[in-house]
Amino acid sequence: MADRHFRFIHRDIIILLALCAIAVVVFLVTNEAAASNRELFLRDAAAWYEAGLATLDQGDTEAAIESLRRAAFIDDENEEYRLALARALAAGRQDNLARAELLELRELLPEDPEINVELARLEARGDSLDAAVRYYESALYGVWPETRAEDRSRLRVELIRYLLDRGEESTALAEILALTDNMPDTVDWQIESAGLFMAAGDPRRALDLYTLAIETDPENDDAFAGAGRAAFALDDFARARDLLARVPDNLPEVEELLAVSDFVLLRDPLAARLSTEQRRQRLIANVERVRERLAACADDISVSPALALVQKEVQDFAPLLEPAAFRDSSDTVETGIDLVMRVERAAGRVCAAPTALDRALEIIGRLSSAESS
Amino acid sequence: MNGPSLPSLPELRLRENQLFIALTIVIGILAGLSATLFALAIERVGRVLFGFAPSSARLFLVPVLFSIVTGVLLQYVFPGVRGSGVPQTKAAYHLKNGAIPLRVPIGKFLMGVLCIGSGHSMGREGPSVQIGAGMASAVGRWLRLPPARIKDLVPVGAAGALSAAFNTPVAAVIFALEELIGDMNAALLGSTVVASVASVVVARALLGNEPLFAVPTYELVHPAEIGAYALLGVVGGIVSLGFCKGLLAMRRRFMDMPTRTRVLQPAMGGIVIGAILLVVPEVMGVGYEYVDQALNGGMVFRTLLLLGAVKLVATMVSYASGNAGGIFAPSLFMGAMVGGAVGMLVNQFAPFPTGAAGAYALVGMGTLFAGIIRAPMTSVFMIFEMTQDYQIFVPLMVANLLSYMISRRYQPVPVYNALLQQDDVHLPSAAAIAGAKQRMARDVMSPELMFVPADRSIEEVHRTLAASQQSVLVGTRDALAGVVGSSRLTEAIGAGRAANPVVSLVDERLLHVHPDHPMEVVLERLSQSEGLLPVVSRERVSRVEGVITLDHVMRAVGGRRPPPDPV
Repeated sequence: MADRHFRFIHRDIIILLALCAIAVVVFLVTNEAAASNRELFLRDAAAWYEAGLATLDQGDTEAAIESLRRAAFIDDENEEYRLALARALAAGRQDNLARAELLELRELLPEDPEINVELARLEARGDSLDAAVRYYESALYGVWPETRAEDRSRLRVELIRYLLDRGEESTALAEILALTDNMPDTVDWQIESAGLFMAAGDPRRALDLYTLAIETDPENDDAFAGAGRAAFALDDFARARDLLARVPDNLPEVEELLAVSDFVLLRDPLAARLSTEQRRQRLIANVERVRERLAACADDISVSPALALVQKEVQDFAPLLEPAAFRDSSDTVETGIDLVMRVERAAGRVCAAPTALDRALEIIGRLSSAESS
Repeated sequence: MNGPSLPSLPELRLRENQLFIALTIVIGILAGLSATLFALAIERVGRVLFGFAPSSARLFLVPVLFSIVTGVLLQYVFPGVRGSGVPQTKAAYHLKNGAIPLRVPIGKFLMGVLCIGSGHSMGREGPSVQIGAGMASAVGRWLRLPPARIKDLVPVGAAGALSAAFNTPVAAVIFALEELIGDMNAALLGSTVVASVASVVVARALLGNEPLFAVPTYELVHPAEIGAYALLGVVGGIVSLGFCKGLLAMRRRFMDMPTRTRVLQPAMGGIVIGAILLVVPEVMGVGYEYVDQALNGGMVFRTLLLLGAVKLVATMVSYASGNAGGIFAPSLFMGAMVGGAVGMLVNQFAPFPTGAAGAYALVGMGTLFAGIIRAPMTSVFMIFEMTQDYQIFVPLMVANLLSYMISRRYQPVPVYNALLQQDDVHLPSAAAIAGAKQRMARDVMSPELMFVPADRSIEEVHRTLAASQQSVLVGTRDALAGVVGSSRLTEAIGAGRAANPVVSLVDERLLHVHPDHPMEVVLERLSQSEGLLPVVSRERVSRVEGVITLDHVMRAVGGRRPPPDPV
């Protein structure tokens, strides 16, 4: 009995070994088949990916999503495919799906700038300021290859523009300062960041950067135009005129600023080194200009009590401009400048668009009141 | 001179058990390899047949032409490999001591690859189970193991194959116990676990350890959401029921067609599938890509409904027309679509915060699996392992239970058993399995039988019936028509039908027991009979193995085997 069992077990061991050998062979065959399938399907995935990108470029978002989804399903470890799918979903306004895909990717690659940027853009579109800024920051402080430093700065510019659009000037200013510390040292970037300073309400820093750009490239028209605008914003009209005069004539906005600057310098009764008579003449010319402006706007005066009021003030002011009266009154110039400014403002709301001279007169009034206060 | 001493008998038995464990490891590995190779072959064949982006002509012609080929092979070369393979494996385990001819796993592999690869809406997991079990049975026979050991190897091979097919080792073990063996406390737990682990290790070495579906983490957002998941359970139960009933009715239609059309039936299914693929190619084959999409909320409501409905019809057609392929994957597909659709409705109308539609798609998968396959525990663990998401466990159990209850209430016979019944095979019920150690019909019955031919006249039979005899079997041992009692014979003669054949008195529904039925069932049915209860084979219900009368029962209870039957 025991002998029979013994033989039985020996035979079993041999068959088990044979089965193991078969298993090894089948394993190798299956492994080969798996590798071959994988290779084939990875090629398919790449083809679907290309097709998806092409259809996305053509604007067929639905077809692109379908193709990219296939690519991502076949090769689900390929982050590029999944990111492309998320982009296509976002382009197709399927924000929730895009977000889900991106968040899943972010779990795998939390510091990937591309993923964070896409999330930031989604949140920005969805009006979630905090989330958008958080993802932008994650992208900016993510892992960037050295060759993509400029892309990183470009992304910061995108964030700054988003903040400015949302009225977040102070946060934007902090980002601009960070940008100027890290951006490539080129004229284009100096001009770009200076423009951002201007948009964020910091013309002083903008002017410094424009000046830097001019020093590097004295022929750069954009730098001169920007610097002129910055100087204008700083009420440095003499410098603005000098800078803007270097810009070619074909920019209407620059011409307008140049003209306004010229008028401010030529028509300010409070300008330095003027005689009393010269101040009186300037004031007379300015009052005459607003009188003409009111006359051109006669039809509107009847419907605007404010205009009617300032028109009467202008009429009452005329005697004060006589040489004797002008000499006897110490504050006629300031009063006149203020009157002219108020007429310009009232007319600006009702009458025709102001000319460069009108804008200059208003600026003169503003400067005078700022000085007196 | 003393020779080497032989080990004692207990030592040899210990080593035999150790060898059996080693065998389960090897079978687990082989089953895992076969399931992996099967999946790879289906993918490859599908890619080769349909190409990168199939044209309309290709979508239609591939299933039609390949179904013609597989129809011939299924009819003449591999007759036992139609359908899923799980019912056949259950039948082999319970009725044939685990004997599965080697031709079956080989045929299943080839036919499954061709049928599913050519676009039929079927799954690969059921066939994998049959391939794994068949291989295990063949190895057992090769090793000349005793029948009981061969039988034990069947669930081991099945668990190994399912473990690799779904990458779900725990669910595979539970499936083998719950569905194949029908006993969660079976002694084979250890062997199935070993095979399942060995198999999944091999599969992961080949394909990686990624879950079948990539699903974001879902959670129960609000306690009231349990109600929404219960609703999903009800809907899933109804859809499961519809699928089971529809599948069985459609298969019955195909089976009622003339026998000569059987070779062409897969092609008939192929034509319908080809036409469906022209419009909805997403239902082709296994379709896990779209399940993944539904799980990640990537489908709109209309698409979910369309794909769910078309998949249901396509799977019924593919299966009922006799192609080789399973219903695991289709039930997961339909579940994801139904769940996703319910989830979207809940998202829209629920007055409380709700989870994403993808969470409902996930639960929906388990819900339909529980409703159709009728293996609720397997379903819960399978979904858990597939997604590796623990958060969804409770809603999953609630929905599964409801779906399972609804399906069981209105379709008492599970679909696999019902499919076998259509093939004239009756599996033992859970009660019969549980009571296998009690006194059973086979212990009581008498194998001595007397039949009257079905065409003999009523009067003739009445005349020959012994005075003491109450009833008689009509037909032959291999083709039982029914049982007729003397009172019925007398009544018929009184009604002037004495010349009619005796078969005209036979009930359409034959009251019978199977040899493994416990005494409890025997007594209940005997009390409903006319004194004579035929004991018929489970593998072929028309074959009689014995009879039981009250006298036999009394003798058995008294501890004596009944004498040869006087009839």
